[in-house]
Parts: sequence; structure tokens; C-alpha cells
Amino acid sequence: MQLTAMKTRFVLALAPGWSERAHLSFVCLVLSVFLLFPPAVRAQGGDQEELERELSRALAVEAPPPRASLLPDISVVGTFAAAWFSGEPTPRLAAHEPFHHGPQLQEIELGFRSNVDPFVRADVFLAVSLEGIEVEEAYVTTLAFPADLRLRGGEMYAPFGRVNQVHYLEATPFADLPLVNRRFFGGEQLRGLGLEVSYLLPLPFYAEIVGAALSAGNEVSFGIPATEIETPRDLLGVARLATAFDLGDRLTLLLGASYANGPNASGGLEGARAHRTQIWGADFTLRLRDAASRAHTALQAEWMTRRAEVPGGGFLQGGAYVWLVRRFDARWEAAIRGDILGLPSGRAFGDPHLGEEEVFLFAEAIHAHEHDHAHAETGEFLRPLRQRRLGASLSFYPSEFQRLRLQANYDFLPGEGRGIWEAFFQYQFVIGSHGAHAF
Amino acid sequence: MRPLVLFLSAFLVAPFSARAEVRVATTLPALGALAREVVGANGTVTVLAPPDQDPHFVDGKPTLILALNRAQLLVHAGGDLEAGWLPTLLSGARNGDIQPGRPGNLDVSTLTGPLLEVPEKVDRALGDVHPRGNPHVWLDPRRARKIALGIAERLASLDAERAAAYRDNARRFVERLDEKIAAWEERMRPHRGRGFVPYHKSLTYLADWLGLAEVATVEPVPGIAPSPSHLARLILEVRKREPRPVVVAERWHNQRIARTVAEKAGVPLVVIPGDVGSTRENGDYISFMEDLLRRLAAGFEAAEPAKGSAPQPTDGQAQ
Ligand SMILES: [Zn+2]
Repeated sequence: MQLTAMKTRFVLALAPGWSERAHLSFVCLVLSVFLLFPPAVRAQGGDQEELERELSRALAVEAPPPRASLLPDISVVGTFAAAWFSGEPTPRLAAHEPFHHGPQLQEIELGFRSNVDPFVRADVFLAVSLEGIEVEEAYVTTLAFPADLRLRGGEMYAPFGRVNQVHYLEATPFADLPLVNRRFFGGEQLRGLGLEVSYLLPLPFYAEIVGAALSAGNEVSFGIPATEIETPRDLLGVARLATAFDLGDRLTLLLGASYANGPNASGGLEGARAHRTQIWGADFTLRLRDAASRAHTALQAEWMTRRAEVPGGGFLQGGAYVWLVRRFDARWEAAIRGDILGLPSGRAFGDPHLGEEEVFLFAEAIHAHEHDHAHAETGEFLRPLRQRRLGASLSFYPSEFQRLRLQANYDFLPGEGRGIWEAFFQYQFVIGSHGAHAF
Repeated sequence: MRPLVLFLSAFLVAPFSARAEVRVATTLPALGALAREVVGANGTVTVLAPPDQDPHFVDGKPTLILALNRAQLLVHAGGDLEAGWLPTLLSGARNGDIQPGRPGNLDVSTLTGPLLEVPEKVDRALGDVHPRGNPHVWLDPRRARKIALGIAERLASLDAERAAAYRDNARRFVERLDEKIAAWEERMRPHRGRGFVPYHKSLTYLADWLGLAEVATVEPVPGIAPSPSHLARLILEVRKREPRPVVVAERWHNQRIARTVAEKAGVPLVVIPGDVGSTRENGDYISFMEDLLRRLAAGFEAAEPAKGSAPQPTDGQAQ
């Protein structure tokens, strides 16, 4: 109390022109800064610490455990790229992937992570780009839900496959998305607002089943945005089975299967609820950790196939990628990737002329309705396409918090003899707390 | 249908009937070794990190979730040492008992007294610093003693029925350890004040116990690979030192760099083969420390033979 009074007088003496209220709020501010950042108070230097240690040793009294900060773990991940294409790039949605010549801001991601209490943790990721700010993910996860269940609620990536569940700019060895993810889920990945329930099966090996109901506002395969939901059938349903096996001390095998079912946006405002998209997926990851080293090798593959109904019939198409990553040490990583769209090869069913014209989408219909102009770019992503691509990347980590990456792709153009080259240079930095690494 | 129901209900019943044994999970092998002394025959201890991997960079394999799911007590180093891999596993474990703040979650850094090297300013320009202080506490047996007693108290409060057994086990272990500590201090007394160059700041507490002087570290700041100019400066610095220090590297650090520094500076390299259980000789905490101190003493001897004894041939590597 006396200290506060002294401080107030001191401040008053410093700033005689201030009103009493201003003084009071200044003092409150100073005090709250002190409370929030206790280490700043201990800026006495090593002498005090030394003495503290000596006293604790001599008197056998212990300092209380370090007081945890009340702030969540905050991180900022900045990802920039420069791209070059030898011709017109194959279709992609202008999101975070490099899509035009020259420099681009892929994303500034703000992450906030913290336990809310012993029962729930919260994760919030905001994506800032030159277009604005959006909520990438914002969800709470239960930590202590009974019966080996875990609930997750909020805006989140759908629990489908491997790449779709991670922030790919940070967690994958490439600067862009696998073709099949780009084609089926678009540049923003498959995500929505909803609830997920997962259960750890009581088996001697790791097996988890996941079910989720999310808003289906995806720009490619699904398309009833959260604002238009009327019945449960307007939601996107996702199911997944994930398993993991240790094959010896250093080799781990992950196998997964996923399924998604939801309304797509074909047929405009009226037709949307009549047409559905189903996607089946299978994934495989084999990871070998070197003995006594940061080095590891991972082989990862995903296959998906999509059946989309549209007015007059539908489309069936599959695709896959496989990549091999070698992390040599703390600093160097190399990866190669093969992509294919056309497994199965992609066909239209129903109306024999289907696929020759653009499919008009619900989301675009709303867009056209509101903005008085039509825009048919995304409809194209429902149609089958045969495409192959090869890529290789080399990454250098000066520290845990920076990454430089060079990548080259050769994109065999659909139906043409020769394709185009793509080259990316990517730079990423992380400030603040470093989140846990995805496995 | 019936066999399926029976099959499923067997799984539902299993976790409850298995409560007869206490199940402890620890992040690091050294903590596992201490927990094992306390638990004894009363249960099982599962260690998440392999003994040959850098504790900062353990793979957060989903398979590790199983052990956490079943654990009644999780023992971890804390101080953000496991921040790169533990949180994901903890959330996947669906085990409310071992979440931070719960009695089943034991943060070892709260047992061993104030952490050393608490940075006054947390700035990544100073490397991947541990913001709450250096968490590599378990190589100081005096602190390991506190950890073992702390684990016993925590287990006693979680499992009152066997409280006496845990306390007994801990007391017996501490008695053995105290004898060893006295013997180790005696053996290492001639090396008091000697200099050493660790790769990472992971031997701070060992040095604090034995009165060793950290000359510098092989990495310029935590988590940053050394540049040639840093290494050159380091080698020149080490060459100047009298008596000659030793370079100490854990097995997961870059052995080529560590060996080069030792060779160029003309001092021995002491390789720590990993955590408890990394070799056949170091399966429990006491034999691990025994092995570690033997290597360290051999290194100091090779660097500067005790007066009167004949110089020992060395290939620059004290195994
Ligand atoms: Zn460390």
C-alpha cells in the first residue's frame, strides 16, 4: 500500500500536468505490466540470483516454482514466396499457394494456444494476407472428457487424410499443395465450423476413430456455407480411422482411411440441396528415425476418390500423391513428390454431354446474387481432369525458427505433349513460441 | 452379435480391473529410471523418449499416446524442455488425470529448487533458450535425490494404499544414492575447478555439483549450429586454458564437429552415450552416473595426468 502511494507521488512529481485520473490509470498500467511480466522485476542482474541461490542452499528453503505466465503461447509464422512459371500455370485458387509470377505473401499466421483450464485447451490461428484477415482455425479441445473420448468444437480443418489436417505451409516439405488436395479441397483446405468426436479404441495398438459434422462452406467439393444451413443434411459429415504401429524402435507406420459426405454447390441456389459429393481417402506414412540423430526419412502417400453429383448426372475422379522426405540433420532437408489426378481416370455419368460446360455453383450463385456478377472459376474444380506432376524441394533451416526453401515442379499439362516448369523460392520465419511438431 | 458384445465389454471392464498396478509414464529415460526405483514391484513405468535421442527433439509418435492414455502419473522435466512434442501427445491421450495442474502431472522442475540460468531477457537472438531456466537437472544426483523423493510423495498421495511402499523404496534408493554421492564427490575432487566445453548447455547441473567450470559451448547459442568462425575462436580459447579442459558431447550432437574441436584444440573428447539405458552398462540411474563420471574422469586424466603418474596414451577420445 505504502509502495503504491510512493509510486503515485513519484509519478505525480514526474508529470504535474496530468489529471488525477490519468495518473491513476498510469499507475494501474505500470502495476499490471509488473504483474504480467514478473521477470522484468528481477532485472537486478546475476548478483541477486547468485545470492538467492546461496541463501536457498544455506537455509535449505526453496523458491516457489516459477509462476506460469497467464498469456497464451503466441506465435507468428510469416511465409513469403517468389514464383516463376514457364507458361500459364494450371488452375489453382488464389489462396496461399504460389499462383502468379514474382513475389507473394503466402500467409502471416498468428497462433494463440493455451489450456483454458485443466479440462479444455484452445487453439486459434488467424491468417493475415494482403486481402485481409481470416480465421483459419479456432477450436477448443477437451483434455479430460471421460471414456477415452475427445471433443473438438469450433472452426477447424476436417479430419480427413494427412495433409488436410495440418497447416501445410509449416508442416509439409513443399511450398504448395498436392494436386489432389488442391483439386478436391481448394486453396483453403477442407475446413468448417462444427463439432468433432474422436475415440481412442481400447486396443493394444494405436487406433482412433473420428467423426465430425462441419459446415460445408468449401469452395470446391462442398458448398453450403454456415449462413445457409437449414437441416442437418446441409452439413458435411467426415469420418476417419487412424492407426499407428511401431515396427521396432525407430520405424513407425501410420495407416488411415477417411470418408466425407456433404452437399455440393452445383445447380445454383435451388439445386444445391439435391446434389451431394462423397470422397473416400486412404493414407500411408512410413517414418524411420536415424539412431542418435535428428535425421529421419519419411515416405507418405494419400489416395482419394470423389463422386460428385451435378444436375443431369455426376463426375467420378481419383487422385494420389506420394512423397519421400529426407531430413539430413537439424539444417537440411530434401524431398521429392509425384502427383497424379486420374486414379480412377475420371468420367462423367448421366447426361452424355456433362462436363463440357461449366458447372454453376451454389456459392457462386449467392455471390452473383449479391454482387450482380457471375464468376465460374470454382465450378471447374468439380470436373474430372487428368494431370501429372513431379516436384523436388530442398530446405535449409538456419535455426529452428527460419526456413529457406527451393522447389521445382514439372507440371505435365492435361492432354498435351509438353508441360510447364514451376519454380518457387520460399522463406519462412517463426517468432514467439514454437508449437509442437506434427508427426 | 453376442460374441461382439462380450468382446467389447471385455475392453470396457479391463481398465478398471487393471487398477491393481500403478502406471507411471515419464518423458525422459533418466526420470523413468528414478520412477522405477520408487515404483519397484508396485507397477510399471513407461518411458516416452528413446535413450539415444535429444530430449528437445523427440518424435511425437501417435503410438506414445497409448502409454499416456493409461498412465496415472506423468513425470516430465518441465521448463519447456518437452514443449516441441509433449503437448500434442497429452491432448491425444484423453486422460484428464495427467493434464497440467492435476495431481497426476508432476513437473520435475518444481522439485529441484530454482532452475539455473533463468534468462533475464528471453530473446531468440540468444538462441533457442529455455525461457524458464535450464531444465536439464537430472545429471546432478543431489537433485535426482529430490526428484525420487518427490515422485514417492506424489505417488503416495495418488495411491494411499501403497504410500508406505513408495516411501520405503525411495528411502532405500536415497540411502544407496547418498553413499554413491559421497564416493563420487571423493573421486571427482581432484578435478574440481577443471574446465569443460559441453556441446549444449545440458551439463550445467553436473558442473554445479562437481564444481566444474564451463569454458564455453560448442554451439554458439542454444540450438544454433556452430559457424567456422565460432569454432576457430572456441579452439583458440580452449588451447589457452591451463589445465586443459575436455570437450563433452552427447551422442545426438554432431560428433564430427565435437571431434574436430577436441582434436584441433588438443584436448580429449568425452562422449556421453545418451540417457539411462543407452548402453548395456547404464541401465539404472546409479550405473548411468557411474559410467558418466568414469568417462569424465578418464577425460580429465587424459587431458592432464595427475602429478607423478605416467602420461597415458590417448587417441583424443576418452571412452
Ligand atoms: Zn536444452
